[in-house]
Amino acid sequence: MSRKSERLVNLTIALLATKRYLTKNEIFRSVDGYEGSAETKERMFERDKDDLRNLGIEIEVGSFDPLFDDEPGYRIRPESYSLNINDISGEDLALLSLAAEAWRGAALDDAAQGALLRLSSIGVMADIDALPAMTPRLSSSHIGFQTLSTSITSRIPVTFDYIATELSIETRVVDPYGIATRNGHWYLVGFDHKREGIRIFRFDRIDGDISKYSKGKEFNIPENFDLDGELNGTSLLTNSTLDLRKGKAHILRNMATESADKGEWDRVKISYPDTERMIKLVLWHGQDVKVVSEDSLRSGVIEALKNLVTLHG
Amino acid sequence: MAKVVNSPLSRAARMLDLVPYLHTHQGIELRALAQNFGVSESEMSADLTNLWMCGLPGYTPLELIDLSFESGYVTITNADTLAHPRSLNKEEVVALLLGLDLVKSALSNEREDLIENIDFLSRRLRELIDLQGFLSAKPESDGSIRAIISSAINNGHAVEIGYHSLYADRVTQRVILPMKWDQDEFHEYVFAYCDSAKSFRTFRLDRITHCSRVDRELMPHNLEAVDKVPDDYVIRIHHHLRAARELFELSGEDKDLYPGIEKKISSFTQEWISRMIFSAATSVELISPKNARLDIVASAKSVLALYGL
Repeated sequence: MSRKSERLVNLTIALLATKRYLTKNEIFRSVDGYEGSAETKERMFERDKDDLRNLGIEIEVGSFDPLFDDEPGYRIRPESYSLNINDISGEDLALLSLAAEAWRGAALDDAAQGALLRLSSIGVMADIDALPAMTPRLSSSHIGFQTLSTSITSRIPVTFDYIATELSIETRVVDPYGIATRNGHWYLVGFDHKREGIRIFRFDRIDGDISKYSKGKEFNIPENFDLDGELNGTSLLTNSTLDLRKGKAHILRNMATESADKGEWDRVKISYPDTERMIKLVLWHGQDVKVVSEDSLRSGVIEALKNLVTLHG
Repeated sequence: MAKVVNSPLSRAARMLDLVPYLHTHQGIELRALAQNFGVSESEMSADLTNLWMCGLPGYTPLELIDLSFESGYVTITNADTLAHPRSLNKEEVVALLLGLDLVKSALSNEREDLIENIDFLSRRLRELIDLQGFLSAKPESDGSIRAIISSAINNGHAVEIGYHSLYADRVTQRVILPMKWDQDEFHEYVFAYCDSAKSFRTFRLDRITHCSRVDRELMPHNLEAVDKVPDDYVIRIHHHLRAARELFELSGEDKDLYPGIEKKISSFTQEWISRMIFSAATSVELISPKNARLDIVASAKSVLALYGL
């Protein structure tokens, strides 16, 4: 095992140090660790190239003289190999440390810690004292998260099986425009090819893995795309007035934009994107909430209550 | 500490990252180096030994990387080719951007300086990978509350919290002694001794409305006997199967549903069951016990009375 890792490091050093392209034969002669028959060495080299590329190291292929069909050579440009983010301050590094720490135990933990180690190698001390005491945390253990984060940066469509309302499984092909987390849940927002529109998918409703869509083409994100707007449904808000019993209905109180004291009750105004969900939220609070307006919310709640009586009577 | 991965590729990646790290941390203690890279000291020694055998082609002492680590402190020389840290890959940048957005959301608006700095850092990171996609992270709970509880767990002191009990729809003040963090797929919890309940309790972090340290000793005492067992209820799921599965947190064998299926569930309070049935809005029916079913009817009628019906 150590021979392979040494060989990969030696190959990286050799390709980084060279000013000109190195041919395969030069590499086999000069880089430690290439042994065996010509075919064996060839296979080792192909695997090593793939491995280094998987680490994000760009190996440039070129020839000595572009006018002749020479044997191709290889090198790594120092400017593409090296981290190109200058002027990192102690405060920056402290913020990045908090950002990486938020992933502890979650999906991109290894990626975040790896990135932080490299940023720490720049030679700046993290100025933790510059930040308030806080330890925000991200959650996710979905196995497809890595594919999704790569696809969103490369603008490649993804495909996955999605659990629909009545638990049927539907295969979706989606151009991933954004990833977001709210209230402990992760969401993918993107263009659904089949439905020809933007849709929101909750990660835990994805059945199985997320894959890159092999027939997909690189997509562009519309300039007017608004991730927060899509998630909050801010474009189509409904306004309602509710009476909340004093000391109760804390979730609805947190949503209120206005509140007035009405004795035993408080009268509040709230805005929401989805009437069906609001009906359920009002029902959850039972006798502690009464809908004053608007009509579709009020009638939806009343109808559900009558149906509850019929169903259980 | 990150989990240790020891494939040849991950080890090579670690060796490549060790060189620039050592360049800027000359004389670092072996133990601290191992900890920072999330490996054991023996694993780190093996990495350093392997790195010692690497260098420029020719591999004479003049070309090999020179390391000193036998004294327990590590220094590196003759490794200029790898002295600059490797660039970040896309996944790493995405991880940092989401983490930064979370930190930004958790900061109070008074820290405009930090918010501006995060925006600037994020722009620079996005440029590194030419990212067009959108990333957004909002914390489930107040980051400062989490910090106070973490400190309480580490230092063994008590805190006073406001806690929103969802089933009772009531915010109570409690003094608790936090013991450890727990988590499921979506949420974080604090396991603590609760002085108000004289018992151990689990509190969901996002339902803690405020938290402050209290300067008095708190030891678990007068523990109430934990002999309460949950009651069983039978529900029938008519439609909106996915919503029912999520609402009642049905997992494992209970995950497979079809319209009309009956499921046995348990709860310590009937109030909780009642709220679940109400919010399911007739897609789920409570079958038994009969008195709880009748209570649903009575409750629904009393809410209808609020509307004059």
